[in-house]
Amino acid sequence: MSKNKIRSSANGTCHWWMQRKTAIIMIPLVIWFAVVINSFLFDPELVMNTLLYSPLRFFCFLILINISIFHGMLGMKEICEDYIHNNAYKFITIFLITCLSWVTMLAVSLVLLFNFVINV
Amino acid sequence: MISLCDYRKIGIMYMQDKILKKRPLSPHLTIYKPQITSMLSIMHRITGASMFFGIIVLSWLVIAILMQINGLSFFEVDFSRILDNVLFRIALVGLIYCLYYHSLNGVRHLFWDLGVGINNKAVSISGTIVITLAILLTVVTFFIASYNVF
Repeated sequence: MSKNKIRSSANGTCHWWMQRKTAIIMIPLVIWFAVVINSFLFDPELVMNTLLYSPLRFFCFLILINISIFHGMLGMKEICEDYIHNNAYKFITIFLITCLSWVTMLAVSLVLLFNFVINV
Repeated sequence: MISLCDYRKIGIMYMQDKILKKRPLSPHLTIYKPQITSMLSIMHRITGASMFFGIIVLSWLVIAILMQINGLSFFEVDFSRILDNVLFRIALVGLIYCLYYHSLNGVRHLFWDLGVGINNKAVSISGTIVITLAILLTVVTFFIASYNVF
């Protein structure tokens, strides 16, 4: 078991604790997000217009989207470790998921901030 | 006296026997009787994974739309055709079910980490509450959305 060089087995407590921390941070944000999308009739255009052009809502939305992608990245790593038995495929999949998540987080933050600075 | 090598041979023969006779291996999801605990547990993973891919796709959609609005795109795409598509709306309702279910079940997991509600009865009761609430909230959202969407 100790020969296993997957990062989470070397650093499993950190992984587990990060997952819980992000989950706890997201509880109030998800409640707020659910209230917002329901009060704006679940219309993507309307919801986006309200979220992107009001400072407080924009700030909360930015935090929510980044933390949720990070939390999802940790969860997908765990799923890959559990269900992919071939070591090579497992490492490649985890690497790709990590890259995709970080690139998406960076791109979405940059574009949203750019849009906010330009328009508000 | 059986050596370590013999044990390895016996192990390999055992696995070959299992594979040849197509006997089920470790995760017995397909042969276990479906119970509320196991079903909710696997649903937590399925909803989480689908939300991960959903959020990545939606992020890139938002990026594309904002680039076009701010005049940074090289070619024009009519995004209203995607946003007004019925399939897209149905996918959004599916994602909102995933969000409700995963959040409620996640709170249940956090309570378990604190050591609250770990016995057969409490787990079944909280599981029933979670699945009922998630479906109820999704129906509510669907009716709210149906005012202007469907």
